[in-house]
Parts: sequence; C-alpha cells; structure tokens
Amino acid sequence: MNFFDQQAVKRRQSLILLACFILAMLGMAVIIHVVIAGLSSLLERGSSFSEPSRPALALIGLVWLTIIAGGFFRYLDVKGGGAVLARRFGAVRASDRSRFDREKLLLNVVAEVAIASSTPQPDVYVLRNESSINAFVLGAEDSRHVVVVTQGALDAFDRDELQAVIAHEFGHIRNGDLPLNMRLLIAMGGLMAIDEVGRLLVGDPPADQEDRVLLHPGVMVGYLLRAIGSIGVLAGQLIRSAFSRQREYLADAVAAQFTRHPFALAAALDIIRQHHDEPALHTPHVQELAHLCFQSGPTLKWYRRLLSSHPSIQSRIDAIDPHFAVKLRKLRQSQAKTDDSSAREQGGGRSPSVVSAGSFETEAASPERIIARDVNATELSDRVLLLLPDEGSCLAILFALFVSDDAFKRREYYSALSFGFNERFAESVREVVKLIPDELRKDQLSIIEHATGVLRDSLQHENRQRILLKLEGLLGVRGDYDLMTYATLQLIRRKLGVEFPLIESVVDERSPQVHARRAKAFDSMGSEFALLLSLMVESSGASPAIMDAEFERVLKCYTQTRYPRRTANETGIIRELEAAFQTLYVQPKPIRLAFVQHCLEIVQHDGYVARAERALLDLFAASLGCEELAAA
Amino acid sequence: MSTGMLFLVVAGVIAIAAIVIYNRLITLRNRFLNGFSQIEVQLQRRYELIPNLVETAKAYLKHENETLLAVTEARNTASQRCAAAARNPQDASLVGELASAEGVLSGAMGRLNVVMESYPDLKADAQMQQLQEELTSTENRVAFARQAYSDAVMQYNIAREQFPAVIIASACSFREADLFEVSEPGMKQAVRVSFA
Repeated sequence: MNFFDQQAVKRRQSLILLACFILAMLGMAVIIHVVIAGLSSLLERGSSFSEPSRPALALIGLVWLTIIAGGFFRYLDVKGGGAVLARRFGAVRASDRSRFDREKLLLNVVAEVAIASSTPQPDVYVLRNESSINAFVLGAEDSRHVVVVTQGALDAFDRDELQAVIAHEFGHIRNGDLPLNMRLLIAMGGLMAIDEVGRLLVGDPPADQEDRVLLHPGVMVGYLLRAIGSIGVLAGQLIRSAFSRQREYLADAVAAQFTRHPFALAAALDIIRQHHDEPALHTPHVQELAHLCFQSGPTLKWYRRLLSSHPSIQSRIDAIDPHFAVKLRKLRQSQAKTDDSSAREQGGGRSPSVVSAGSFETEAASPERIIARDVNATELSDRVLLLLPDEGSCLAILFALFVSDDAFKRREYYSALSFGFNERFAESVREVVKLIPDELRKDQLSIIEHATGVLRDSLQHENRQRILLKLEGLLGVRGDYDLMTYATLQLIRRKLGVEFPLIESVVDERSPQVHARRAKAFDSMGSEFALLLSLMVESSGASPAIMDAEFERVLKCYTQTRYPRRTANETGIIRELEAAFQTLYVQPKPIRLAFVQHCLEIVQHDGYVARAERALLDLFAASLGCEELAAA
Repeated sequence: MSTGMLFLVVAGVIAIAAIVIYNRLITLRNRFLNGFSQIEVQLQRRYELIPNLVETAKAYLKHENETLLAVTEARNTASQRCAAAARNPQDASLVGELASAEGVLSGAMGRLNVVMESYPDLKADAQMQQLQEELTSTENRVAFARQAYSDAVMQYNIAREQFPAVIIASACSFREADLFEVSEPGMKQAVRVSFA
C-alpha cells in the first residue's frame, strides 16, 4: 500500500467515525423519545409517537449538549498532548530513582525499543495504582507520544516480555494508528460523558447498605443519568467494533520485527491469559481506553467477543508463534532441569541417597523422558536378544517385521520367501513370528536398531543392498505397500547404510544446471508440503476434527492456498510421497532443515510422541537429508 | 522539431535523472552514517559503564586480577578504535577493526561474567545489580542500533550498485559501506550479563 492509499484509507476511516458518531447521537434521541412517549401513553396522557413531546425534546437537547461538551473536553485534552491525557487518566511520570527500580527498567526498555524502531523517544508514564496488566500509547499527531504502562504489567513481566509489549505499542505509533485512536477517544469521551456525570452523582457505592444517602434525590438523578448513559456506552462499543481489529495483529507483527523475539510477545500474552480473572483495567475510564490498550481482557462469551476491541489472545498467540505451546513446555523443562542441577550442587553435602531420590523424582515428573523411553526403548528383552546370536537370525527377524496379520497374505509372504531364498529361511522367519509376536509389534525400533547393527558389521555393502532389493521386491508382491511399511523399510535402509536409489537417480543423472532449475519457488511447493504435513498430522491418531484444525494451522505457515487434507489410505500415496521427496530434496538445505524441525514441533505439540509419529519423522528426516535432526 | 532540440531534451532528462539519483544516494548515505553514529553513542555509553563495573567488582574479586585487566584492556582498545571509526565512518577497514575489537571485549566480558557467577556476594550487591541492568540495556541498544545500521547499509549498497546509479556512484566516489559484523562465529554470541 503506498502513501496515497494510506492517506485515503485514513480519511475514509475518519469519515466513517464521524458518521457513526452522528448516528449514535440520533439513535439516542430516538430511544429517549420512544421511551418518554411510551411512558406518557401508559399514563394515558395521549401523546403521539410521530412528534416528540416537549420534555422529550428538552431531555434530548440536554443529552446532546452533554455529549458534545464531553467530546469537546476530551478534544482539549488530546490537543494538550499525550502527557495531559496521561495525567487525566491518573498516570504519573516514570521515575528513574533507584527506589522505583522497575520503572527505571521500563525507561531503559523504552529507550531500547525507540532505537530499534527509529522513532523519537516518547515520555513514559505509569499507572501506579493499577494492578491489572496493560499498556497503551497516547498522543496527538504532532505532539510527543506517551507510553503508559500499568504497575501490574511492570510486576508481572520480565525484561523480554516488557520489551515485547512496549514494541507492540511502538508498532501502533509506527503504523500510524494514533490519529484515528485519538479521534475514537474523543468520540468515546462524548458518548460516555453522561455515564460519567451519573457516576459522579452516585458516588462510590456505600459499604453500609442501611445508608440513607441512597434515597437522596441527587443520587436518584445519578442513577437515571447512568441508565441513559448506558445507551451511550453501548453505542461507543458498537462504534469501536466497527474499526478493524487487524491493527492489533499488525502491531504484533511489527513488534516482532523490532525485537526479533516473537516468543517473548507470545509469553506476555500467555501471562495475561493466566490472569483471566483480572479486568483489562480497573479505572472507570476503561470503556474509553479499551481500544488503545495492549489487551482488552480475556472474553469468553461470543457476544462480548463481537464487541471486543481486540482479537482473542489465543488467535494472537497463534499468529505470532504457532508453536508457542511446545516451546514454552521445552523452556519449562530445561528450567526445571537447571533448577534441579543447581539444587544438587547446593546440596553437595547431603547424603547420596537423598540426592538420587531427588533426581529420580524429576525424571518421573518430566514427560519428555517418559516419551523417549516409550518410543525408543533401546533395552531389548532377553527373550529377543537370545534369538539374535548371528546374522542369519537378524535377517530373519527383519523379514519377520513385515509379516501380515491377515492369514492369506501371511501364507503368500511365506511362499514368496521360500521361493526367493530357501525353505529353511522361510521356516526360521515363521519361527520368529511364532516366538515373539508382541515384541515384533511393540519394539520395532529397537529390533531394527539391533539387527541392522549386526548386519552392518558382518555384511558387505553390496550384499546389504541386495537384501534390501529382495525385501522391496517381496513387499511389492504383497500388494499392501502402506505408509507404515514404507517408513519401516526406509528406516532399515538408512540403518543399513544403503543409499536411497530414488534420490540418487535425481542427484546423479542430472547436471547441476538441471538441479538449479528444479529448485522451485517456495510458494509453488504447497501441494508437496500439504501432503507431508497431512501425513504427519494424521499419524498423531487424533479425531478427524482435531486433525483438520491442526492441519490448517500448520499449513498456514507455508502457503496461503488451501489444500485438502490427505490420508495414508489413498491409493498411490507412496508414489506421490516419493515424488514430493524428490522435489523437496533438491531445495536448499536450510529449508529442508526448517521443515523437519517444524515436523518435530508438530509431533511434540500434544506432548506425546506416538510410535507412528516417530517412524514418520525418521522417514522425513532421512528422505530429506536431515538425519542429524532425527537423531536428536 | 529539430535534432538540436531533441538532443537538448534528452540531455535535460538525463541530467534530471542524474540529479535525482545523486540526491537519493546522498540521502541513503547520510542515513547509514547516522545509523553508525547511533551505534557509536551506545558503544560510548558502554565504554563508560565498564570501568564502573570493574571498580565495583574489584572489591569482591581480589584474586581475579587477570580477568579484570583483560576487560579493561579490551575496553580501552575498543574505545580507541571506536573514536577512530567515528572520525571516518565511511572507511570500511576502520569499521571492521572496531568490530573485531568489540568481539574481543565481548569475549572478555563473557569471561568476567562466568567468574562473577561464583561470587554470590557480588551478585547481591545493589550497585552491581544496577550496573548490570544498565549494561543489559546498553547491550540491547547496541544490538538494535546495529540492526538499524545494517538495514541502512543494505539499502545504501543496493541503491549504489543498481544500474544507472552505479555510474554516478563511481564517478562521485560513493564507496561501498561495510556491515558492522563480527566475523568469528564465537564472538557473535551476546555477552551474558544476567545473574539468573
């Protein structure tokens, strides 16, 4: 969008705001008229609905006068500059004296972000009596800007999170949101003015319920005014919701650009989510300020969300960092580990039994370790180990991995085995299946690990290659060459140190120039990414609705185009998968690495790594030439 | 229209284009020079803070004279180079020297921090905590100023190397600007100053 377009958009927004404001005033007049006419017709005074009565006209005039006066006063404040406004809302200048060390830190952080965004240094104000977590920025077009932060935010955030929040506010300044926000503030100031007068008359709710002051005529008028003013509050909320919440997403994005640390911003939003019982602000001006604030409080009800000035916190976090949950969990685990180790260091004098008991507890509590133990349990049971004394039995157990549950297919497989090798080998495979049926299913990974280790040491490279070709041929005969079989086969291939023939052909046959041409634009690989991602998501074994949502979420990281989610049961999926691998394998390594890393995060997203997920991840990593990630 | 007129018009258009390009290059050059002065201001701030830090730490680190000395020396070198580079920021070699001196200083500071880890009294010192906060903030400012500087340098270099501009740039000696980068990979790591 160029400069002139932006100017046009801003002018249009101001016009919309003015129109909304006038509409709201007319709407209030109509409501007052209808209510008064209805009341008088109830009292049988016989007034008409078509023509406003005199008291109604007087009341409407009074209300309009209040609105315009309120707006005018707010306009004067805005004209006076950010500092005047900030003081109006009860903020004080941040002090750099050592007693207020958090405020000193805030001043530092603001100075840093000002450099990062190359904007002039704004004034910094603090709402010291405000325990809620929030921040906003004030200032007219030509005056100095003012950043206001609540005490609650100062106490709740650490340095990085504070920096991220401040960067978000600077994002508003840089995106030019302030002029419109200030106009909105003026409109709100007018529409809320009646409510404000009413609140002044009512005063604070008395603690003593017996208090006679409740029946004081001034207080009664105050309640009446508040009743009328609530129409203005509603109108204000409607106006606010007419303006795009996209500005918040944009400010978040700019904040990430300034600090290059999106995780901190997501963490700050997460902290706000944890304090969901706190309102966005405690001050009576909360309605006026809502559209300026960093957050508008977590809203659960749909009708509140419609009127909300901000997008929901979850969608903001998703937009900033789709894998925030995983990263947070990892961070907590590493923190727990360092805490544990430092505790052990400090307790060096304690008896060793106590220390080991402590470490055992953390081991049990840490979910990641449980997962690791579950997925690649390297300890083979003695029963299995006894079966694997030499290469012959290792070979047999590898072939036994592919024996089907279906009786007909099993017989076919055995006959193919005896045809391809000899009767004795088929017999030994059958024996293995009979002896350890459970282990073959459960400990696949460790069996492969062990057997291929033995075979690698004792067999020549060509022989290993031949075995693999044989295995491939056998599985082709079997006809149910599904995804998991494919993944297992590729895992064995990798462990045996035999290269991938399909990728070799790509690398060898073509000259480097052809290569370069095959490297596609990132956007045009959407279907390949979609295929791999849908298989990845599907392997989690969740319900279809969850998988659909997850797939959409992860695909958004790659492409704007929508692709349908694929499933492993489709025919010809293996061929497509191989084609996708071929396309992706010639892409630059950083892209492949990032993709596999992303898959790793997807797999860990729900905190549990299923066996199928692990196998698929290994397959992806191996097929894309990123083995170092799979090992980690 | 005679050929003379045509020639005049073409020459005029070329002259105007040349002026526009020249002005654009001047703007971009000033922007990146300003970016460098931003870095320099923050580096100076850092050089002023480090002696305070060393003084405060001295009271606690009686047996770590070498580490403190290394920090002081590295600071002095970097400070001199910074002054030299500030006098002539267009000289890419001076900027490169400053960057390497900065790398040495960062390494020395890193070692000092590791040493300080094992002195809990020092960590608890109120003045020390304040200094650490100031230093953290300054590190951040240097980093952000660098970010802005790199962006400005990139814009300038791109504008300088593009086709019609490259003729004017070489004619009017617009030299290529250097990114403020630490070459050795180990030095790119930020100095850890937090006690956490």
